[in-house]
Amino acid sequence: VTIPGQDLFARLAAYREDVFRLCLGFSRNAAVAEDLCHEVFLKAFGRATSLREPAGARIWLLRIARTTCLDHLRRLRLLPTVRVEEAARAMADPPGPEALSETSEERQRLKAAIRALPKKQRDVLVLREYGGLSYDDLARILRIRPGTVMSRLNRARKAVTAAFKGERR
Amino acid sequence: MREKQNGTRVAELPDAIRQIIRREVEDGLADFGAKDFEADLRAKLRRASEAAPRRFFFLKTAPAIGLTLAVVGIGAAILWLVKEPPRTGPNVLALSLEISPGLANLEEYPLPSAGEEIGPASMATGLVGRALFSAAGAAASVSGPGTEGAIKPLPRTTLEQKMRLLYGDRTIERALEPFRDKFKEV
Repeated sequence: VTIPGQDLFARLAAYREDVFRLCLGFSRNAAVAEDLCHEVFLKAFGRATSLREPAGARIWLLRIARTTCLDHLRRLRLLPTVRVEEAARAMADPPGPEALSETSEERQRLKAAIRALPKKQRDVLVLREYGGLSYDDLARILRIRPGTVMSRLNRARKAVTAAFKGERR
Repeated sequence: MREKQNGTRVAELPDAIRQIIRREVEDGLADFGAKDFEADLRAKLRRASEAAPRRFFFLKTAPAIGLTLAVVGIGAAILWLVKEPPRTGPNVLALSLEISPGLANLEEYPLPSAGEEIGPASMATGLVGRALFSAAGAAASVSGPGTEGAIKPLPRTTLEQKMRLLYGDRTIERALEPFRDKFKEV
């Protein structure tokens, strides 16, 4: 990894929130998303020479973010772990009953519903709903046609809605 | 609810789910925004760039050196085995093989078979004497027809010196005794 010039650093760092949203969507954990976000930028600066068109920097960066997140999920599957700082935080500052019922519970239910999706559908849904990407951007990142993006998203949304509602009952 | 693009209808998520996602993203972004992302990233970059040469050494250079050394070592071992087979066990066998072209002509003194262990006891019965005797005469037989590639016999003196070093003068003298007159013939 080489330390990038101020120009490149500023240009890529401007997309930090986009990258964070994606990382959050895939990891569903803010602390992990932050670490992943750093990892994405470290990778990006290391591969800066492969960025041919400066105009496509955002898509290029988000593509790296997606790959990094998928690698992270793969590692988790191989080696399920609990982060030390998370466990410590949970023990030191347990959420109140209200927060649990309103936020955590619903989020956990949604997390389970998204996790149950087929991989390709989950990919599209997270990129769209958390990353807020347009169909065209999604198509460019995933290197598929916009029509395929829409059909996958359609199926993913229906499946998540059904799973979420089913869990609720 | 459905959203539309290019005439294609795509199912929309219910408001409840959209709200959960929106809140989750907002909470995450609020935490994230409160931290000095650029400073943290610059610190990590600096650490990574400092660690890069060491990492490169451990990941690329060290394995390459190890592999090269292993290949060279294996090659050298093979060469050594081919050129210089290890002389394990009683060295008499190795020495007798060196003079085998000469010994092969002496039917009354059969060669020990490969791998057979030959100790001082059998030497005392004449093996060393036979070996030395044939070594002296091997120079003539090895240069005859059909002996191309035969092992060059050691000169008698060298062989005898080796034997004396290995088994001592008295043993060698006793072993040579029955062959004294034959050496004269050669």
